[in-house]
Amino acid sequence: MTLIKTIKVILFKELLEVVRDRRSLTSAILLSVLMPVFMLAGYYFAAQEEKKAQTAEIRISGAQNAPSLISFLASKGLTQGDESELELIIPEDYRNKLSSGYRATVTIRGDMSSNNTVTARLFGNIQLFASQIAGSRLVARGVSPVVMNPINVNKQDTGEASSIARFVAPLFVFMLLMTPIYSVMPACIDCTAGERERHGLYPLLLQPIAPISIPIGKWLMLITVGMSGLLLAICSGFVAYDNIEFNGMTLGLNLTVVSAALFLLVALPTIALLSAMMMGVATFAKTFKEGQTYVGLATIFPVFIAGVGSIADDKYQAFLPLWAEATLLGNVLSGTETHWLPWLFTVFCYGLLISAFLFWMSRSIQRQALESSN
Amino acid sequence: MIRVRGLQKSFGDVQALKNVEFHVNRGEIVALLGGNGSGKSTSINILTGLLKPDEGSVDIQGINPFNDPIEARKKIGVFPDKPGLFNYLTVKEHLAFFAALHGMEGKKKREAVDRTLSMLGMEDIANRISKGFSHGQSVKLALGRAMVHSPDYLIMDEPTRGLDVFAVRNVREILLRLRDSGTGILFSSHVMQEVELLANRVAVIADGEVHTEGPPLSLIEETRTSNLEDAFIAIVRKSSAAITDGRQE
Repeated sequence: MTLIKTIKVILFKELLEVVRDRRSLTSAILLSVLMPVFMLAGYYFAAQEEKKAQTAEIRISGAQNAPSLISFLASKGLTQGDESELELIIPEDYRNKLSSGYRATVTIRGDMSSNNTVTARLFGNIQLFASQIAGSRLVARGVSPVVMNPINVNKQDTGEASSIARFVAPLFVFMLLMTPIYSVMPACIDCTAGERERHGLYPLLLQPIAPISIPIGKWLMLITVGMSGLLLAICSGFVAYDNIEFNGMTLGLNLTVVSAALFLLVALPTIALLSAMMMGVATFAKTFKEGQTYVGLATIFPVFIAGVGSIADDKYQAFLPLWAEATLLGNVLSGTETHWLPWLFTVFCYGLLISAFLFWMSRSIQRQALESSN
Repeated sequence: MIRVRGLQKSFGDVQALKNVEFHVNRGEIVALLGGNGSGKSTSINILTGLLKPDEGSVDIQGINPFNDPIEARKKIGVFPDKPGLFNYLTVKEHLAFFAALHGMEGKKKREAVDRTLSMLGMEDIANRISKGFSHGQSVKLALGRAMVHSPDYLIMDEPTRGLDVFAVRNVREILLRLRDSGTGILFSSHVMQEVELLANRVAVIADGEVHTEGPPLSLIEETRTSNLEDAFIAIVRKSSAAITDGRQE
C-alpha cells in the first residue's frame, strides 16, 4: 500500500471522527463564527462612543450664570442633559468676575476615566471660548488677537479611517488569522493526547504501514478543520462587516471573494505550521486533560506575538512570524502594494519546520504507544 | 511458523526477558502462561516489532519484523490487552478502516468486513458507534480488527480478561474456529481454565524465561499434579528454587 493511500485512509478516519465528535465540532464552528462578530461588535461600540463624544450631553449647574458659554458649547454639540455623569459647575460670581476683567473659574466634575473623550472635548471648547473672549478684549484695546495666538495649526486628516479603525483594522486581520488555532485545538488534543489515553495509537502502529503516515494523516485533518474554521470566520467576519453600521467610519478593508481567496492562500502555511506545532506540544501529554493544559499554554504564543508586534518597530515586524503574515493579509485586504517574495521564503522555512515536527512525531509515537499499552 | 529464539530485554536495571524461546505453528493454539510481570507482554511487543530485543531473534514465516516490519505485520493480527477503539467509528467502519490499512479495497474489503461481522455475530450492531460499548462488545470488535485481514497468525494479550462467562465462551468458540481454519494463535494468559480448554501447547514463562513447553496434559503428568493450576505453580516454584540455588552457589 502506498504512503499516499495510507495517509488518505487515516485522514478520512480522522475527519469522520472529528465530524461526529459534537464537542470538537460545536466549539470549532462557534468560535469561528462568533469571534469575528464579537471583534466587530467591540469596534462598533467603540465607534458609538466616538459618535457619542461628538454630540454629548452634560449636566450644567448654574447655566443661568453663563448663557453665552452655554450657547457656545451647544453650537459645538455639547448640550445640557440631566442624565450625564459629567457635570459643569458655573459659580454665581462667574458673570461679575468676567465683566470686571477678573479670571472666572468653572469646574468639571465626574468620572473622567469613563468619559475621557467628552471631558477632553468640553475642556477644549471652554478653552476656545475663553480665547475668543480674550481676543475680543484685545480688539477693544486696539491690539491684534494674533499677539495671543502667534501660530495657527491647520489639521488636515488624509486618512480614510477613523482613529479607532486604524487601531482595529490590523487587529481584525490578526484575529481572523488566529481563529483557526482555537477551532483546531479540541480536535488536536483529541487526536493526540486523547487517542493516547484511549490506547488507540497502539493498534494503529501494529498495521503494515509507515509510521510517518499516522502524524501526517492527523495533521492534514487539523489543516482541513483549521481552513474550514477560517472560511467560516471570513464569511461571518465579512457579513458582520457589511451589516454593522460604523457611523460612516471604515476599517479601510476591501472585502471581496478574491481577497477572501487570497486570505485563505496566505493563511494556509500558517495554519499548517500552527497545527504541527500544537500536535507536537500535545504529543507530550498522556491524557486529554494534560493536553488541554499544554496546548492552552501554547496558545499564549500568538497573544505574545500580537503584543510584541503592536509595539515593535516597522522594520522588525517583517521578521515576526504570524505578525508578518497578518501585515501581508492586511495589505491584501486593503488593496495596498503586497510583496510576495518574503512570504515565499517564510513558506519555505515553515515547510522545513513542519517536516521536522512530523518526523519527530513519527519517531516518538511508537514510544508513546508502548507506554500507554503497559 | 513463528519462531522466537533467545530473547533478552532489559529496562534499566530490570531484566524483563532472560532467555525466551518458543514457536507457533499454523493451525495450533499456543498459550504463554505466566504471572504478572513475568515477561508475557514484553515478549508480545517484541514479536510485533514495536520493541527491539537486546539479544535474540524473531522469525515470522521467514521474515524478521525488525528488518521488514511492514511485511511481517501483514502476516499477523494483534489483539492488545486494551481494546483501544475509536469512539466515533461504527463497528463496520472500524473493520473497514483496518482492512483498508491492509491494502484492501472495494469488493474485497466489503467481503472481509461482512465475513468478520458474521464470525463475531455483530451484524445487529454493525452500524453503532463504539462509544458506550460494553467491555464484551469492545473485546469482540478488537478481535475483529485483528482478524479482518485473515492473518496467518493471531497474537493476543489476555483476550478474555474482564469478560463475563458468556463472552468468554463466545471468544473461545471464535478462536477454535480460527484455529481449525489454519490460523496459528499465540495468546498470553494467567487464567488456567482458559488455557486448559484452548491451548494445544503451553509455554510457562516466569522471571523472563520459558521454563517448560508442551501440551497441558503432559505438563500435568510431568509435575504429577491433578490440574494445570497446580502444575503451573509447581513449575514456577521449581524454577524459582533453581534460580535461588544458582545465586547461592
